[in-house]
Amino acid sequence: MKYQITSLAFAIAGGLLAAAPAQADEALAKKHNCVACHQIDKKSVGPSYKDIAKKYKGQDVAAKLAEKVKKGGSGVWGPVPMAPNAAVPDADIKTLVEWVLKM
Amino acid sequence: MKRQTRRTLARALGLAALPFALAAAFAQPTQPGRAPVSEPEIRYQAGGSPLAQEEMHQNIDPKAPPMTKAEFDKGRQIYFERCAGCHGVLRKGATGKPLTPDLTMAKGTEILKVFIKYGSPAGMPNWGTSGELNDAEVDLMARYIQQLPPVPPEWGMAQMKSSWKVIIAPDKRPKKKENNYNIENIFSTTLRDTGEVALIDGDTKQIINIVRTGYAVHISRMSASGRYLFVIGRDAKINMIDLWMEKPDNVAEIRVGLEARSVDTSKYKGYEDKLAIAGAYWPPQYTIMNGDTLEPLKIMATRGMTVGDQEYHPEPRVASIVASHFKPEFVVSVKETGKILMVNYKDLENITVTEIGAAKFLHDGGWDSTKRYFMVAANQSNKVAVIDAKEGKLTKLVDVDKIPHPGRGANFVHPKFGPVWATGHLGSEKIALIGTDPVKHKDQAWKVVQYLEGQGGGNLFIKTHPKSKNLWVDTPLNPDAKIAQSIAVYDINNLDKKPLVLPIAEWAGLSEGAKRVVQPEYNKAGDEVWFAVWSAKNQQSALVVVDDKTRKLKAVIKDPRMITPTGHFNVYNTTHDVY
Repeated sequence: MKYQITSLAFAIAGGLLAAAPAQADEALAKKHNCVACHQIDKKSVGPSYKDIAKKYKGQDVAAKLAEKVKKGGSGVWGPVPMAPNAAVPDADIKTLVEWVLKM
Repeated sequence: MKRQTRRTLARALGLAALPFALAAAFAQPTQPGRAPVSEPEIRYQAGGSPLAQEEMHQNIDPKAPPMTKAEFDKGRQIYFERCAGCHGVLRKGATGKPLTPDLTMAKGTEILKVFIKYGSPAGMPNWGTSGELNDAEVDLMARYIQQLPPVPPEWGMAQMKSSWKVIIAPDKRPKKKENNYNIENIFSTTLRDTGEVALIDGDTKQIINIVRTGYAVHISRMSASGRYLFVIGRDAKINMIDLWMEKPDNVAEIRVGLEARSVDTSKYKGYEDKLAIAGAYWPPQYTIMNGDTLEPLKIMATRGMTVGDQEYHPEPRVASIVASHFKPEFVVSVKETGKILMVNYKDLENITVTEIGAAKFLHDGGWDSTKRYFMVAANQSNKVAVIDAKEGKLTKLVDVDKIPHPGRGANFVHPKFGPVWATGHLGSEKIALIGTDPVKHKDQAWKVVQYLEGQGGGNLFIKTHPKSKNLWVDTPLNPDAKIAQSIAVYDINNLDKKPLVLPIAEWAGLSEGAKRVVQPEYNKAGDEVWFAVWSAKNQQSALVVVDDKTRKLKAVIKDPRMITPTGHFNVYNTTHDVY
């Protein structure tokens, strides 16, 4: 009985938190300084996340983009290069790339 | 050694003119929600600071990317030549963002390099792709700004005293005027790059003397009697010139800091010619001096809390100073804290300062026509603060357009709205007319009653005269050469009519060079307007005199000694605050 209540509580909490992951990912983007150059829906120094999602819609590019985030890149969005981010853990990069591509 | 320093400094500052090549840098879209920095503003702020040449204490932070002493020194020099104007000496931010190590280290070298090289839509210039800095320098600067900001030396009484020279003691000076010049119509013209002012006879248009001064004299001010002329260079050197001498020349000098912009003298009845005051950018302080010798008497710091959010600011620069006619007070506007200090000079030992909170990033300003209200621009806040010098109170904060830059502004009687004070803007083409008569035009008082459409942004000065019906507006920092080299003149009686545009630089008949036409200034009679046609150091420059009534060319003043004139002050109009 006790066990059931706990799992019910979990289920409710899970439902309530359904909207949270996007915020968590945005916080992660802030934490790793992505927002210094990128905004969600406006071009700044780098392209907006929505533009990136649009460009790669339907393509299997997650691994390629993760590589770019890690090592930096240039030429796709104009002359301003993407700075390398060697210090960001691979798992975080993966989370962030998936978050961006889903926009 | 001294000569060497001056030359390097001149070269460093000469480079500051280069940002003209940067036009392309700012073509990027602006970012909503954040005030974009206009190109004229960048040009205005990103001029070199004399601090580039100062030895400073270096703290190496073990967590910051390593640098050699030589690299650090080079970084420091580039920082003060290019970056300090916007980001501040201690990198607390002003026009530009704060760049303290806690923030820069979090970004890391690679991201910083992108910003320095390519710029940002928020207004950071693209120093790399514009060719101003090479990749090695970009890398150096990215590492430099992760180090703790080096602190320039302080400049207290001992340093002031050792820089202070009385060249001719008061009792050795003329007892009466010893020349035949009409001294009320002398113009003091800044020769920016040579560190001089030219004293020009307004009647004959002849140069009376070229006087050695500090570097890039920012302003000229007069003693209340109209005898002594005070000029202050960007390097915080003040020169005091006696206009009664057979050949007017320096009688005293002092350095009040390492970088400065403002000087004035006591104007209140009973205190004429008694005291002088100067405000510094670094150290952040103002100094009250003896009015006939420049002996430093009292140094007051401006470090303290900002208006509004009430946070400590370590380097609030003194932006401008005027002298009250209503009280024995200096009106000191402090940039970063956004406060106006009414400094009562009656008793320097027991000094009273009334602190008036206005808005951040105060800049320059002038009196209304009654000289009761001081109108000062808070230029990054896009406001003009109105200070009642009689009551010692903030009367109103008036919203204006982007980055107002009044100089001292212009007073005239609007045909519909009565007395107004006008300012142009660095960041827009608009000229704001603000009502200044709370008695007979109460509904219009302290409101923008009309905006005039100017030629474009990049305005520095605007001028009229009580005897004139013309309003003259310059645009020297506009990226379009045609606009930068011409002047717009409005008919005060018919302000809805488009202005007449006069090709002043063309009238000067100079050869090539990136010329700019700057600072209209009236003669004493109010029937001539003078303009500086400012060209590069190695090019010919000139002054152009226009007949106010006919708006036609009256005279061109050229002289091989007239190098980089950037503005001028008429003795009578400056003494009596006629503008």
